[in-house]
Amino acid sequence: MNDRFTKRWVLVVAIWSVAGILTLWNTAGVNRLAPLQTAHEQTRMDADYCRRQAARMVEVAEKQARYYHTVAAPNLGLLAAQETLRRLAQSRGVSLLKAEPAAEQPSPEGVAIALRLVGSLADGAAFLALLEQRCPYLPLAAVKIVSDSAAGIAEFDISLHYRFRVVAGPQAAAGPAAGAI
Amino acid sequence: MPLPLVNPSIGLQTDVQIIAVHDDEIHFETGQSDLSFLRSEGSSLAGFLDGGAPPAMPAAGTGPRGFRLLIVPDHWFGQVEFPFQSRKGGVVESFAKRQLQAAHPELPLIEAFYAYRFNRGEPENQRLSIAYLQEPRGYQLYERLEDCGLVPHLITTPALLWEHKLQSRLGEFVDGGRCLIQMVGQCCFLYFFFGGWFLFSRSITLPDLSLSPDERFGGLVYELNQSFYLFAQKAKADLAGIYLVSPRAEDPALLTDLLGREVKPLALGAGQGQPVFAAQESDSPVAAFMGEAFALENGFRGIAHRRLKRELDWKPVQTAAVVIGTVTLLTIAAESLFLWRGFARGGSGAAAFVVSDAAATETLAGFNDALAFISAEVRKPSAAETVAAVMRSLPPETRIKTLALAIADQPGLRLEGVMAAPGPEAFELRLAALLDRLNQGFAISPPLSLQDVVCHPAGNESDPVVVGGQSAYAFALEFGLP
Repeated sequence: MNDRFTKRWVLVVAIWSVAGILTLWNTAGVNRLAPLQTAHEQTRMDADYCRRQAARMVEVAEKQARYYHTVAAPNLGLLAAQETLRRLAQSRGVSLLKAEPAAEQPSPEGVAIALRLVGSLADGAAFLALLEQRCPYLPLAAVKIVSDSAAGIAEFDISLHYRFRVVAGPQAAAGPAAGAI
Repeated sequence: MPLPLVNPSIGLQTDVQIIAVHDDEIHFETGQSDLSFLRSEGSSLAGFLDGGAPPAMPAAGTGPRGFRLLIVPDHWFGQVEFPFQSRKGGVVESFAKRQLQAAHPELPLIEAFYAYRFNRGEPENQRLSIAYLQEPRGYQLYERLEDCGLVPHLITTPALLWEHKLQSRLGEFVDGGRCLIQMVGQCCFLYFFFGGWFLFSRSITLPDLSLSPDERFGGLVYELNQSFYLFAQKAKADLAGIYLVSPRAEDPALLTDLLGREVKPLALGAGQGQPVFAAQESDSPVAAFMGEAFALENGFRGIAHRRLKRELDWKPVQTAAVVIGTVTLLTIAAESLFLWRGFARGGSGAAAFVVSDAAATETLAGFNDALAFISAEVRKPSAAETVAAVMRSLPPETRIKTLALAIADQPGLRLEGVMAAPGPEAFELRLAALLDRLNQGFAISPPLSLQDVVCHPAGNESDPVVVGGQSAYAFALEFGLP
C-alpha cells in the first residue's frame, strides 16, 4: 500500500519534472528561433524590395558613380583631373595659376586640391558653374574671391576635393573624366 | 475534526468488501452489482489469527481499487475525552499520541490507530474526543489481514455505523440522549447516544422466541432499566427518545407498554423506495447494514491506519496531479515537437536563407548609403549660383571686395564690399535694399538686419574714398547658407 503511495508521488514528480524540463527546452528553443525568424523575414523583405526597386537602384548607383572619378590609379586620376581643370579654365577665359594637390599621394578617400585663378568676376563665376556641372567628382569645399574693381579682375582661391575610385581594366577609361570637356 | 468519514464511492457496489467480526467469528462479504452481498461462512477468529487461511472470498471479490471495511465489536474501541482549546491538527495529534501511549503502553501501534473529533460546544468548553483501537486482537487482526493482502481501509463498529446512519437520517438525533434497541435473532443490542455521539452499548441475549412476549421481554426490561440508569449517570441527563429496530412489528408496542415510555419503531424510507434499516433474522448486529441498506450508505465513520488515512487523503491530490500533469505534459510535448520540426526545417532553412540572401541586405544598405550621399551632395549650395545670386543682389554703385564662400563644412558666406552713396541716409537705404535682396535670395533665417552689418566710410578721414562724386562706404556681412 505504502509502495503504491510512494510510487504515485514518484509518478507525479516524474511527470511534472519532464513537463518542467520540456518547458525550459521550449523556452530556449523559442528564444533561439525567434531572432532567426526575424532575420529571415527581414532578409526576405530586403530581397523583395531589391527585386522591386532594381531599376531604381541601378539608376541611383549610376548617379552616385558620377560623383567619383573612375581611374586606373590615383596618381593618373589626379593628373587627369588637373588637366581637366586647366581645360575648363581655358575654355572660360580665366588663367589657372595653381592646381596643386594637398598631398602627393591621394588617400582612398580622395585628395584636396587648391586652385588659384585670375580673371573677370563673370568668367570666374562661369568657370565655377562649368566645374560644378561637368565634374561632380571635384566638389568645391570653399571659394574666396578677391576683386579689384579698379583693374576689373578678381582672384579666385578655390579648395576642392578630388574623389575617385580605382577600377582595374577598361572600365576606367570610360569614367566621367573621359568626356570632361 | 470528526472521526474519519470515508466515502468509498460505493456506487460501485462490487468494489465494496466487508470483514465483520462478531462472537469470535470472522465473516467476509462482498458487494454485488444487484446491491446484495455475498457472505462467506463464518470462521473462527482465533484460528484466523493463528495463521489459518481466510475463507474463500465470495465470487465478485474486490479489485485493487476496492474499498474494504472492517467491522469489529463495539468494545474493541475505547474512547476518552479531554478539554482542549486548540483545533490545529498537528497539536491535537501530538497530544492524542502522547495521551494514548501513556495510557496504553502495552499497545505500541496505538499511535497509528486512533481518530479524534471535537464536541459541538462553545470554544471555551471545547472537548476533544479520541477513539482508539483498544483490543489487542484488533492489532493482530489488522496485521493478519495485511499479510493476506486484505488491508482494511477503515475500521469501524456497529455503534459508529448506527451513529452515522442516525445522524444523517434523524434530525432530532443530535438533541439530548437517545437509545437504539436492535433486535437481531435472539440477541438484543442496546446503543446509547448523547448529543449525536455514541456513548456506550450493551448486548443482551433474549430467552427463547417461542415464549410469550411478557416472558421474553421480562428480563430485557430489567436490563433496559439498568442501562437507562447507567446512561443517566454517564450523561447526567435523561433519555429523550428510544428507538427500536425489530423484525416483528408488534415489538414497539409491547416494549412501550412494558417500559412505560414510548418506544418508536425505526422504519424510515431512504427515498427511491429503498429501506434504510433492514431488520435481519440473524444474530449479528452487522446484519442490519448488509445488502441494500449498506449499499445505500454514503460514508462510514471509524478509524483508519494513520498511514492509510494519509494515503486516502492524498489520493485525490495525486490523481489530480497525475491527470493535470499528463495533459500539461502532452501539450508541452506537442509544442516541443512543433519547435523541433521548426528547427529541423524552418530553423536551418531560415539560417541558410539569411546567409544566402545577405547580398540583398548589403545591396539595400549600399542603396541607402547612395541615396544619403546623393541627397547630401544635392543639398550642398552651388558656388556658381551663390556668386551669381550675390551679384544680382548688389545695388548700383556697389562693388565686391572679398567674397568668401564655405561649402563643405558649415556652409556660409562672408561679403565685403564698397557702396557709394550721397550720404549716410542714402547708404542706409541702399544697404537695406541689399539686405532685403539677400534675405529673399538665400532665404536667410533669421533674416539679416542692419545691426548685422559692419560698415564705415571707405578710406580714412584724411583721405576718404569718393566714387562718382559720392561718398564710399565699406561694409562687411556674413550669414549661413541653408
